[in-house]
Amino acid sequence: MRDFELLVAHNRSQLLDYLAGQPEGRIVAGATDFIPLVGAGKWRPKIAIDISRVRELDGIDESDGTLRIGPLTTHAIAAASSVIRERATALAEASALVADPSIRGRATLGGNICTSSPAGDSLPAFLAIGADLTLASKDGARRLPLTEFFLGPGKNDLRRGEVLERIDVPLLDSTGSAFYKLGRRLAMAIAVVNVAAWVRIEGELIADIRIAMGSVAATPVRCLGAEASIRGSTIAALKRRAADHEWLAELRDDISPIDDVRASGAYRRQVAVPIAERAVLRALERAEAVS
Amino acid sequence: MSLHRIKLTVNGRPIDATVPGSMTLLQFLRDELRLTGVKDGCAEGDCGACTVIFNARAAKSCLILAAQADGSEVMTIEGLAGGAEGALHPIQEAFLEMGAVQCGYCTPGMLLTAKAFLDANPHPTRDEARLAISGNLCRCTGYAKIVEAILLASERMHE
Repeated sequence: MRDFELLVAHNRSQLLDYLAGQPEGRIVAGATDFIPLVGAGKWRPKIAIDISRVRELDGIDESDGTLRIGPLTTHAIAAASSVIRERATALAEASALVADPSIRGRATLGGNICTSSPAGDSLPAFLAIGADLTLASKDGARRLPLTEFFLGPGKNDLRRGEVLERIDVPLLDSTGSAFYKLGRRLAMAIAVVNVAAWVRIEGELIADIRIAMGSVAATPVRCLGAEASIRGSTIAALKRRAADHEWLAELRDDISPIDDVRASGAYRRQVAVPIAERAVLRALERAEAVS
Repeated sequence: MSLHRIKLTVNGRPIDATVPGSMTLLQFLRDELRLTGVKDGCAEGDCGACTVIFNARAAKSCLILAAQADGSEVMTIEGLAGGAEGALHPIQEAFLEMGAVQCGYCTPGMLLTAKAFLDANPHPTRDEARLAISGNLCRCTGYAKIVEAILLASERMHE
């Protein structure tokens, strides 16, 4: 691996000083993306800043109707966390399918978000459950909806001198979410397509719905057209529709999949609809179960 | 290049060393400590041949910077048998009995993954055992005997 200077931050204050002094520094935490990408020459940092010991970036807290997740939370912790399994189910399901158990024990949610792969497994889940980011620097902190963070494959709005400090997820009543992943194998697979759905019901109505997909565009995307076709309908109407083949075909206009080593664009276009349908129905089932 | 002093325990021995920032734990264990039972199969986290037990959990040592290992406890395959000369760990015995070793290259990683797994989950199902080794590639055995060996070891370890 090409050499770099490593700075190890021991607390938040030291981290923000390092970032201010070395704004071009590449942050490293679990290193499960960092090492392979630096090893392959895709990332060429002169300076790396290890944040893995900054305890202020760790932890899961639920208060005032918001789930606050520290970016150092590993996928293993997220998959096992009872509050995430119960109140942000799509995220627990996504984290459980990343890589393999040993990588899940080291790889972090913050790293998944900031690597910003269009295929990152937790990303559709975070988009569907309505996550918001707090980005901190020595000059202060800003909030950004996750929907505005991803700019292209591997590109995001994290600015020089900033670190992802927290991920907030609103916890609403009568909601349910679900996640599915298609891969060429059952572990250690980059998604061919992944999807997360989140549903909020109010009486007999689908009051709100979000559908997010990965590996079908340059970034993980919300499927706004498909959402609009469902939002506001009655649960009964949706279930009647769901008896038809391809009831969510609108989704094909929300995605723009390409051919790559894992699958063709045509295959992704075909399979995105049934896998999204499954996720929506599972999310609805879970919302009904808690309502 | 930055240099970092690290203090860690490897196979029960205290180690005090200075490492470059860009050195991986795999490189440190093999090249500095001469623990060549830890294998370099891909150096990018896919094959699992580099698996060690890091703070009680199976971890791919090629995906850890050596500097990040300060303060940690590491077990490599050299530390699995422990104690009396020639005495193998029950998991090693089970692998031998079940024919779960062919070329042996994946074996250190498989054994340590199995040990960390069985320590946390003493009575696994077959599916749980298969999931546990889902990050360890084997080109020889087709995995079936490895899974059998893990299940046999779980019985033996709790008789």
